[in-house]
Amino acid sequence: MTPQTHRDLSVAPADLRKACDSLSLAFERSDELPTSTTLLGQQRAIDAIRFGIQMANDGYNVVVLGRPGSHRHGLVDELVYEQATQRSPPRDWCYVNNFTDPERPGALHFDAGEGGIFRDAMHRLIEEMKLAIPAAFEGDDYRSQLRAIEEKTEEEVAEQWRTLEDLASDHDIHVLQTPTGYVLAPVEDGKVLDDKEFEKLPQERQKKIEQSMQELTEELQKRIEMMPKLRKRHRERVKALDRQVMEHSVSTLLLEVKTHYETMPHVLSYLNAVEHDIIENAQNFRQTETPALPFLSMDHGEVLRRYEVNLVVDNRKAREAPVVYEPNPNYPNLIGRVEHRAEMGALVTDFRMIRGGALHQANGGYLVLDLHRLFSRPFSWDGLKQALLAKRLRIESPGEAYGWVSTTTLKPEPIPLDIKIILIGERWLYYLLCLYDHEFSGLFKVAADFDDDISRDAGTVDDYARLIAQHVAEKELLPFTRGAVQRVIEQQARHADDGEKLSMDMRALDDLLLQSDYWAQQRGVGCVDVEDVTTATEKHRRRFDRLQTNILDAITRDTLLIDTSGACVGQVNGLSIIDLGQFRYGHPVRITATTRIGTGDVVDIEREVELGGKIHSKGMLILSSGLTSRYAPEVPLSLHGSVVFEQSYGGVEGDSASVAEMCALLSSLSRAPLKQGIAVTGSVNQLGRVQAVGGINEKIEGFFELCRKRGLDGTHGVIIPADNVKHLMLRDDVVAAVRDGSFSIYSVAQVDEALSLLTGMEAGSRGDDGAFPEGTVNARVEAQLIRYAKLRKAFAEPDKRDDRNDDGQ
Amino acid sequence: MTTDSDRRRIVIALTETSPVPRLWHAAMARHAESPADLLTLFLQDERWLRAASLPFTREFPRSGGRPTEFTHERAREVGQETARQAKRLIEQLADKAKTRVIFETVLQPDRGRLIELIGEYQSILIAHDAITALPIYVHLVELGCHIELIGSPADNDEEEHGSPEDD
Repeated sequence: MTPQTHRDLSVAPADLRKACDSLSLAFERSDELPTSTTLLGQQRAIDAIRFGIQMANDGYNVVVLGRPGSHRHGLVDELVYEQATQRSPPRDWCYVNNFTDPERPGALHFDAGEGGIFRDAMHRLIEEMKLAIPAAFEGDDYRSQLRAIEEKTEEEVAEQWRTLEDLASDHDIHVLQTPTGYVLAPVEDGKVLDDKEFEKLPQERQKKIEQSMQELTEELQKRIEMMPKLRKRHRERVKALDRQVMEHSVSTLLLEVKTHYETMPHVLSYLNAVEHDIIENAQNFRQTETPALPFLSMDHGEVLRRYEVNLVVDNRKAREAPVVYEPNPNYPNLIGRVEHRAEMGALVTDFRMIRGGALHQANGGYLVLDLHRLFSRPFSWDGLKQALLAKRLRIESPGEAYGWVSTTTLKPEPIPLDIKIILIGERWLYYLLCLYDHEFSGLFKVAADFDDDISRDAGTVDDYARLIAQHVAEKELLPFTRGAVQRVIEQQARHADDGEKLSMDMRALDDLLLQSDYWAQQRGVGCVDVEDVTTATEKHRRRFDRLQTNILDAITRDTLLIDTSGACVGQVNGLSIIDLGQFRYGHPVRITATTRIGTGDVVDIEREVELGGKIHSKGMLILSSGLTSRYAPEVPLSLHGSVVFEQSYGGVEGDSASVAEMCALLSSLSRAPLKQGIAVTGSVNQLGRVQAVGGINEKIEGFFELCRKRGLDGTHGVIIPADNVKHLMLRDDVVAAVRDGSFSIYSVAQVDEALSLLTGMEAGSRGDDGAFPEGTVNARVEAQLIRYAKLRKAFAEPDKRDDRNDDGQ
Repeated sequence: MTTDSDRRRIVIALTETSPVPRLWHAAMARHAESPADLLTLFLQDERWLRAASLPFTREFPRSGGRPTEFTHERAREVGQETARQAKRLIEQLADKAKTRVIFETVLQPDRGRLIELIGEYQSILIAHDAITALPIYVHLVELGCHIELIGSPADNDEEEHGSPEDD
């Protein structure tokens, strides 16, 4: 290849880093710019979110897709709050005791703010009852009625014994009382007879006494049996009186509350149940007895708490629909829970220990959740889906929901659910859900896909400058000079891996702004300038470049063998990239190829030992196929080639080395040495077209670092795909080296161009006769393949094996 | 020097079936009006012993059920146990009221002992109205003390032997 060709393929310095010179806004410092706009460049996502949150129909929940740091949360907040302000605050919800089935507490709803009022009203009511009801039972009226009942019963009891005693007296018998019963004793002259006196009585008298005793025994037993009935009758009379007093007291006290809620049948129904329960359990308000065992003491206040109101959703202070973000969406935080307390070694609960979850708090509004957090909390996803599908919010533990536990616990009445869910997550999770969860697509019909970057044109650059100004102002940083703003924009293009794009990674932007501000403050200046942004970038790289430095060190100490001068057959410098999350770097890797006669296969050693990934293997197979179709198509491919990444022990993925691998193979076949001062990156298709690859800037800079360390002499350079030129956003020092001719970047569209650059020879195109020009690399490749084919044929025909000696080299 | 007029006593006359707390409270009410020595007189019913000597005497449980033989031992045992329980209950009530009380047990026909304990004092005697059916009631009247009778509670007989905390 001639020097002229070299120049044709060289990338002009101006194309190595697209400077931010299209900024049309007139400003010297960022604080002169009007602040704007967090909604920059995400119109598709914005439209989708607005559509999703405005659609009232079922299933139009929203999944916001995008990379972390793309300001998804901020944008969602902004749009959802904007929508929420147009809606009224939703209902309050309370849980109350279910007096007929305490295990199933009832749910009551009120207009926003009314739940707290109802709770307070019930609390005051019970406090009043605690005073008013005992007072009613202590009043003279009650006491006199009770006394009348007691007297009546006393009279009935006395009447029973009086008639018995009268009867006994007629038969000269006394009824004696012992502590536990009664004894019939015969009397004579008013005195109870003893055995001696009885013996002295005439036989006839004795018999009569015994006969009378027998008769009175029956009468006595009748009366003994009558006593429990009389006592029961007495209790019933007292209870009826108590009930009458209670009904009057309770209905009087409840009247005001009932009147207030007379238009709310469900509340009125609850109040009627409260009234009935209080009347039925009047003793709760009158209890004064101390139990036999102190630990059996029932807390009087505790008993009355059954009438309390558990306000689980309180929208008293709300002025619009709720927007809730739950950072820890575990099952209880999401669905709610029933808490327990330990009492004498047992866990007990009641309706007052029901706690609402984020779904309760956001009911009637919007709930924002992080998708990956939702999935990293067991059962949360299923719980959420269950609630959305049923459109009801049922509080139950996962154990109950999945049927693992059968212990009795509360089953609170489900609450109707009217909510808009906004999930924020990454795309891969969304696509997995679409693929594997058949309910997902029906529940989340709106996807708002955030662009990772935006086009870099005059309009967006101005908007981006305003965005930078806004972030600087929000974070109260030093103002950025015009040059610093331009530098930040350039750096965001670099972050996007594309000179024609701007990254929408707002986290990276903020980091760069903050760090630039830090370095400016270190300098003690009042503005952030270009050098601060550059320092921030360099320092950032420096903090993370330990591994890169180690690799460079290993290469310069010839531990990792990379030649950067001279030429070698079957050996080329490829470029690989290492991604450490916050930092990526490129470094050269030696690729070698060997060829010999064979059966038409090219062995990828990486694949053979399972160090090669699928994409890499695919690249190798494309390369093999390209080789087959490109050279000597009419003769069987009788080649055995092998390609390997030397000193690579950690696996290889991607097809970005396939141009280098092809060049190494062709060099081996053609015996044309390849320049070691030039590294190659790019993938190749079956037709020899070179295709774009990722990490182009880091790869170039990685090889540049090594060459600079060894001394740039003008022979060094990198071959990249022509389609990657638009992605170039190289460092200033690389651009400067290219500008002064000590380093070169070549862009190629065909593998032949790369081959020419690497060998310094004409690659050669087929002429009208279908043959490659004599002496070109391709002619030598084809000649070698034909020779291999002949040799192979000769091996297959032993009689002609001597031909090998004729043609052999 | 103590005169006869200073020798005043409030006497709680108990039998085996008396409602102790009610009588105690009545006595304490009197004591509050006019402080005096407190004496509890437990009157053992001699009629039990006499009746128990008869071979055909049976005790019919108050709670119902089959009657059992009422023997001399049973009569004595019931009398002693009842006296012990009454004493314990009176002591608890006195402790609670932070007052002092004398407890004496008298077999009903022992008139001499009654005179010694009651007759030599200006006594107010507080008793359950069932005492009027006992032969000793006549003796008590003869001793000239002021007798205050307390009626039975209406609800049930068990209340008669309640614990001091009942009130």
